[in-house]
Formats: sequence, C-alpha cells, structure tokens
Amino acid sequence: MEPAERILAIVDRQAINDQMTRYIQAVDRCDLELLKSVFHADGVVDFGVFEGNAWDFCEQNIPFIKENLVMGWHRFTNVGLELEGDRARAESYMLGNAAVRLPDGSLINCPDNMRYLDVWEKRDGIWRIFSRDLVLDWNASWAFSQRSDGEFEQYQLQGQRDESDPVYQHGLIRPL
Amino acid sequence: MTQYADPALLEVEAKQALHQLNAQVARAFDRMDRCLMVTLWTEDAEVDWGKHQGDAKAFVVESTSPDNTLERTFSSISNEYFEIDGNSARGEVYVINISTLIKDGKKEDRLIGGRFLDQYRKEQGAWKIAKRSFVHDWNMNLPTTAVLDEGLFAQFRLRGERSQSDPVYALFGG
Repeated sequence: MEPAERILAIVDRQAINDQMTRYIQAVDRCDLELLKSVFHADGVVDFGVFEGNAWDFCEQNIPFIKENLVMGWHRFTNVGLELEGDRARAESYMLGNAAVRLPDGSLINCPDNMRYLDVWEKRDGIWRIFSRDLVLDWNASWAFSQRSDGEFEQYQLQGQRDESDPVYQHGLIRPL
Repeated sequence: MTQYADPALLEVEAKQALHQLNAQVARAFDRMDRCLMVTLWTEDAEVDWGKHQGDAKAFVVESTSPDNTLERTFSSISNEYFEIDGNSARGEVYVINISTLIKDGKKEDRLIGGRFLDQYRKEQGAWKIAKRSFVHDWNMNLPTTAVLDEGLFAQFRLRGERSQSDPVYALFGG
C-alpha cells in the first residue's frame, strides 16, 4: 500500500474507535443527540428489545434506560475491525454494570457481557453506524452493595447520567 | 514527507495491528475457533500459562477443544501497552475473563482478572504472538445468577455461543 492509503486506514480505524467511544458516552450520559449522531439516519439495529430504524431506537431507548436503570455504566473493549473502503465490519465487546429496582422495591446489581456486531459506513467523510446487532453473552444478578458513606464520602465528583456530569464541563462531548 | 512519516506510520500501524491480533485471539478463545487460533501464533510460539509451559501448540489445541464443563467464556481485553522494535514487539494487555462452569451439575461463574505479557513477531506482513505469559491478578467465584430466558434479558434474541454458530460468523464469515 502507498503511504497515503496506509495513513487513511489508520485514520479510519481511529475515527471508528472514537465513534464507538461516543456511543458509550451517549448511553452512559443518556444523551439522545449524541447517540443519534453515531448512527446514519437510515441506520438499523437488531437489539432484540428493539428491531428497526436506529434513530427510532435512540428515541425509545434513552428514556427507557433513564427510567428503568438506577445506574448504568459501560466499557467497550476488543475491537475487531475489517475495513473495505468506505464500509467496515466490526465486532466489539462490552462489559456493562447496571442496577435495577425489582417490583418489591429492592435493588439488584446486573453486570452484563454483550457484543456489538456492526456495519459502519463513511458518508461525506464521517463514519457512522449503518447496522448494529447486540449479542448477549452473560449476565449476573448480584446484591446491590453500593455505599456513599465512610471511605466513599471523599469522592466529591460523582458520575451523573445527564448533562450535569463533569465530562460536559471538560468539553469532551462533541457529536460529529 | 514519506521518509519523515515512515517510522511513526509503522509504529501506529503496528499498534493497531496488535490490538486487532489481541481481539482475534479473544474471539478464537471465546468461540473455540481453532482455524483462527492457529493462524495467530508463530510456528515456534511459546506459552507460560498455568499448566501450559513451552510449546504453544498444546495450548492452542486444548483451548479450542470441546469442554463440557465450560458453558461460556468472555475475554474482555483493555489497557494495551505496546513497545515496537522493527518486526518485533512486546506488550502488556489486561484481561477480565468471565466464564460459566458446570461443576457436579451446578453452574458457577468464575471471573479472572489478569494480564498477558507478550512477545510478538511480524512474519510475512502479519503480526503474531511469539510468546504469551499469563499473569493472574485476582479471581471471583460465585454461583451463577444469570437471567437469560426471563424478563428483559429474554428479549435479547442474539446469543453468544462457543462455536461457529455464534452470530459473529454471519458478519465475518467462518
């Protein structure tokens, strides 16, 4: 490959990685605008809980997780990516940690392992998801044991699931 | 320009390729994919991984052989640090492996946190593992509490499999 092509491939991989990061930022901050920006308008998802247009999914999912998850944090890892010009296929791993309230009022902690299977497309120079499927690998229901007293009192900066999270003040939320 | 950019270009290309290599090893391990796994190691590769010492081939075969006591595995890698030196490289890669084991008819979740300390070599343009040592950092062993077929989780139709019936093969091919 010529140097120009090699540089382009590196830039493409980095751009997709950045968008994968924004997807997680969007879900963890419940940021609808940011989440939609990661998908093409005609994109599709097959998440089991939702199958269809990606932007419709975003509109449905953000209020759903805001209402039904007491907390929700995600980290993505293991990106396997095959570039083919302006299209790419990718598998990425996700480790999530969420808490939900049961009908009896008690809280449980639900860590989960999932994978995203994606088709990405670069249009007008910007990579966005055309298709994303969600694969469930594992989960658990553990007793909710989060505390805010004792040694945890020292952490003045607490993550928030909205625009009051410190990441916004740092200017690190920037939809493309 | 080209001459100036080449070393930096080679280094970032190598780091991206090594991330891809580590993701492929995790996929081969989690999907029990021997065809993929064998392509990811040099011919003379070695491991220092628990009971596996020396030639990597025994590890490659055992890690991709059916195991009725292992229902699922998920190998999440992060914190990848690479030092590139021409066609050789060294790396430290953090891993959290989450498995569901079947012991005496009961299911147990095992979480292992550790690190791979790797030596890599580039052969015919492809980066491969020449030596992998697994360092154990921590583990957790808990009764399985997975909820897969009830409530919200039942709606996640696509499921991970330790075989080529996993949905990833529809995307990338076998």
